[in-house]
Amino acid sequence: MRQPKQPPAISKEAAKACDEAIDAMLAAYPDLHGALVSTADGHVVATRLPQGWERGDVAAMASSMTALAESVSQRTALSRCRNVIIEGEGGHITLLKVDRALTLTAVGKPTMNLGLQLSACRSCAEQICRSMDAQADGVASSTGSTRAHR
Amino acid sequence: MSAEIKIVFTGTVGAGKTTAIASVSDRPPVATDALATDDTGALKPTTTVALDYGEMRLPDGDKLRLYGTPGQHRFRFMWEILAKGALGFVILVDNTRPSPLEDLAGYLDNFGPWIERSAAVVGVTHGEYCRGPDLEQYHEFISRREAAHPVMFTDPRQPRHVITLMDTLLAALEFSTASADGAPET
Repeated sequence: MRQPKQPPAISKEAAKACDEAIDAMLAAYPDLHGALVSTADGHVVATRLPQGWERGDVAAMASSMTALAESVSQRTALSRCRNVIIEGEGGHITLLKVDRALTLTAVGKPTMNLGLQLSACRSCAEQICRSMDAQADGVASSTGSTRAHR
Repeated sequence: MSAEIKIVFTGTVGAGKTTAIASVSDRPPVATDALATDDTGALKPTTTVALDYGEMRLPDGDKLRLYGTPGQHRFRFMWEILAKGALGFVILVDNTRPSPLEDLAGYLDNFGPWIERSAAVVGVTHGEYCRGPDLEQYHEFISRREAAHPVMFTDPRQPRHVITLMDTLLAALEFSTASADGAPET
């Protein structure tokens, strides 16, 4: 599979961490169609979507949806938006912010339980954060600098 | 009875769409900014990824609903969503970009079907003193496309500039409506 071009602000190591995390999630939950990690401004970072799905469109739309949801959530005094759920006739799409820069989108089959899907996505997001923290720690210790990626 | 008029601000990344709406909105505008992770980051730290929204009440009681589009082509689906029902378009072009006229052509093409049924005004931002095209070149370019959209230099940070853009757009709308009313039936 051709790897998507990485946005400049996302390192190859971070993209690899996203790849590994969504691979692990999809292996653990076969009732997920696929998943995608994208930047907050709509670029693909890592993707495991079925062939024929336009991942660039999904990444851009995920960015728009999460930004709009965040606006609605704040305007209605619900504070920060934790996730966005789209209920389609053929399953659920869940969008979850991994951190300020990344969003995780997962597409579930009709047989996938929504609660389970959200739980799987949270675990996946946490895994990505842990990996990126570990990478940042490694960079900081080798350069003597402090980190602040989130 | 007062009317509500939907106006869409579109144009290149960093041209000043979000700023223009914020300049004139009577209420705190809705913005959907996200951290810019690509070349846009060199221009500004965040970028619009869904829409901007503001409102402006006119002296006669009519209300302008102002929508801003994301500038990047990958958000084209938002352009189509936002263009529906719009009565007018403000196209902002950053005159410091490599090919501002090509940029303008892209937006005129993309919004063409909607602009044909409404009106558009072009605001050229980021300096009339840079090496970009002058107003005459813009007018010539638009004329070659057999259109007659008003063009002016504008500073989106200045409310009076943005109000001038919208006054011009509303006048163009009235003219196009009057022309359509007076046009002989075929």
